[in-house]
Amino acid sequence: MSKDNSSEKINSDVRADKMKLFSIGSVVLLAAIILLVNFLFDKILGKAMTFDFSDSSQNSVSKETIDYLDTLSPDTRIRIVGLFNRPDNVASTKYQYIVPLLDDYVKESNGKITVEYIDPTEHPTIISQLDPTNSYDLANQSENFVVEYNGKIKVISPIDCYSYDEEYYRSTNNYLIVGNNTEYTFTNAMYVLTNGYSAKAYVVTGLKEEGNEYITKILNSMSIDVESLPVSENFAVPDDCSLLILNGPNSDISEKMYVAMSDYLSSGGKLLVAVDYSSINVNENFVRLNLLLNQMNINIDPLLIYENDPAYQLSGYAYDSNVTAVEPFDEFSSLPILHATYCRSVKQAENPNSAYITLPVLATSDNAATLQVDPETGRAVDNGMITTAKYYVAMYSYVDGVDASEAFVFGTLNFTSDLYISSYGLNDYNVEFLRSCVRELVDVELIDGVNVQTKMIDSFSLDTTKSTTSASTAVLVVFMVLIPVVLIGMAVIVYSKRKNL
Amino acid sequence: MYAIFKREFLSYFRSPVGYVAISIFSFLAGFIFYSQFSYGTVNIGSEVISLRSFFVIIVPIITMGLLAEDKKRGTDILYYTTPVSLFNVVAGKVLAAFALYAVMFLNVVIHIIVTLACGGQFGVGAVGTIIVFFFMAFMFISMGMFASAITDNQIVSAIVAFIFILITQLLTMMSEYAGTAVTSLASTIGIKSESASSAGSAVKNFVGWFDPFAKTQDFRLGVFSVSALIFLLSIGILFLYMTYRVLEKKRWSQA
Repeated sequence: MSKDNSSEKINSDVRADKMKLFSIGSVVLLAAIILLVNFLFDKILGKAMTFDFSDSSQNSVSKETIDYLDTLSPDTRIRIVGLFNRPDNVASTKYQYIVPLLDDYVKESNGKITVEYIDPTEHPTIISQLDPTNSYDLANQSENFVVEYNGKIKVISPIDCYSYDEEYYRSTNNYLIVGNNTEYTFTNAMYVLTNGYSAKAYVVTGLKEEGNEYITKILNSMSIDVESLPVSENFAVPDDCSLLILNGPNSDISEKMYVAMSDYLSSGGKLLVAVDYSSINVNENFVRLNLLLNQMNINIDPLLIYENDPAYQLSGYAYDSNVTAVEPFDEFSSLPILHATYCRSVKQAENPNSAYITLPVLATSDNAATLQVDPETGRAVDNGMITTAKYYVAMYSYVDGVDASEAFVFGTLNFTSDLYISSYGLNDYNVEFLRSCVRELVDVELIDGVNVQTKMIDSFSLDTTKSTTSASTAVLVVFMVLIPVVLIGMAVIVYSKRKNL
Repeated sequence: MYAIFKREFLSYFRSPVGYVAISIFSFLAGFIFYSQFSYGTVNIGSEVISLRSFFVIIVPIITMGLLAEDKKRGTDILYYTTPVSLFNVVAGKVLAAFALYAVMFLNVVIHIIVTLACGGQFGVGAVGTIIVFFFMAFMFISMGMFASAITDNQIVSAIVAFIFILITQLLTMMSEYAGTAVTSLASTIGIKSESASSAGSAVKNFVGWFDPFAKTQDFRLGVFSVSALIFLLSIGILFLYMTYRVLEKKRWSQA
């Protein structure tokens, strides 16, 4: 009997050992299979089985970029290097829209684009590889990307990849991202590297202007190189200048500048001027600038345009209104109704130079007026209101002939300012209009860059009329107090009823 | 399986456990929602991502009793003696815990309704985070259930589940540390700095590859990756299989 029991026990132990071995073996085998399948799936089908359902496909390159990449020869090698280790978690960081998009560039480029993340502190040789002459000081660009093609590089900061609400920044000193320009920035950087610049524009700086960041982006995307031309005693317009820009000056040009710019225009120069009417320049009549423009039959008025027609006013505001593009400029933008704010009237000079032909570009309604504003009170000066009429907000002047000078003069900054473009994006109708004006001015054949749309970023703001303080209090009480307390109460009731069961 | 699911699901509401778990979840979700609402912007995706951080607390609470309680009371003998397969037992219990999670999530559904009523947005990114939320819930519940299968003490089960989930949540940080440690070690033994960095990066990437949070981070941007979901699902299935093997082994040991 005891022998039988002993034999049964031995059999049972053997069976238990076998069972244990089988359990461990099968778990290890399943784990290995799962890891292998996941690894292979990730490597082979991972990208193909990734789908971008985001609004405006934030993380996928657009058809425009794919078309551009297709035009590149198969042996093209564009290298994008992030000068940092690839972040593991990009959520809520400045890279959150950049890293996934760059992955998509790799996926769509058929091997023409590679993306690497190399921290120069760990791999110092990367700096000399990318920038042998140390022209870009890459050692101090630790958060940036470098796009390299055939030894030429462009450095892109994550900050360049977004549009910000400039007004919000001015009032709070914080950045509020409103648009995603990552694809725009990278694709156009590649475009310029692979095609080169076809023209060079100089932007005059030092006249109390606000900034030229966005107009630079726009011109770069049109394969126009942009350089600053600071005000100085020795001011001269460089010989390679294809386009001279005065973007939002708040003080007049100097005598020296007037002479240099007159010489430039008389030798067939191209000029783009944009001024507005703001509290900073209310008293500025731009006498010398007008002398220069008068040579081309254009004059900028010292008065503010007041739009009386409610159909033209935006949000019922007389200084913020629609303007219509006058023929033939109505074809410069998909929509001939454009947006102008705090405009000066631009009109034909009193003693026209017959060599120049002057055309109105943008016009108000027939029911607008111009007025003088007291810079101290901000109110219209008595008797400042002049006859109700149609006023022009922009004019174009040109001379027929080879190497003839041309100019576009805007009495508003809504086409060129950082403030406007940052708020409305790089594909706003005003920007589209500006591009057409630049194309008209710059003689060299511009192969327009890749017209990638700004991708607007979701705003999670609530309706301010509904998300009031009392609504917040209600949310606090209901979701943080009422519901949890009721549930705890139910838990107590259930416990007390069942504790003795 | 349905009978087991029904019994387990209702048992959450026949004891304080279900109410307490939902109450904690409601409070946390309410706090996150209120924090956003009071600033006038509500991103449901961010709320759901924040809620994922609390898996480490909620999951052990709802899984600790799944099998440990039965073992302690000795009622687990029913699994082995009644005509029901162990697979059905495991599946029924995990589905019950999952259903409780779905009930908890009704809080977020109410938040979504309030957000839309107040003119806010509920975009595709938020949908992505919700999908990930449920796949992760499945994975962590499976881990919790395995923890419950290996002990007959609910507290031990909760602690083991807590450790499993915590390790998973800290994988990003651990991969960083592992990479740095390997780089330092390689440098110490005289390997060239670039090679040491490469070795460190390789280790970091290897450890980081297992990180479910890194794999699914793009969902919040509206980028849905099937491979990430398969990863979560398969890890969950692995733990369910391990649970099944533990029960199966016990059946034969008892025999």
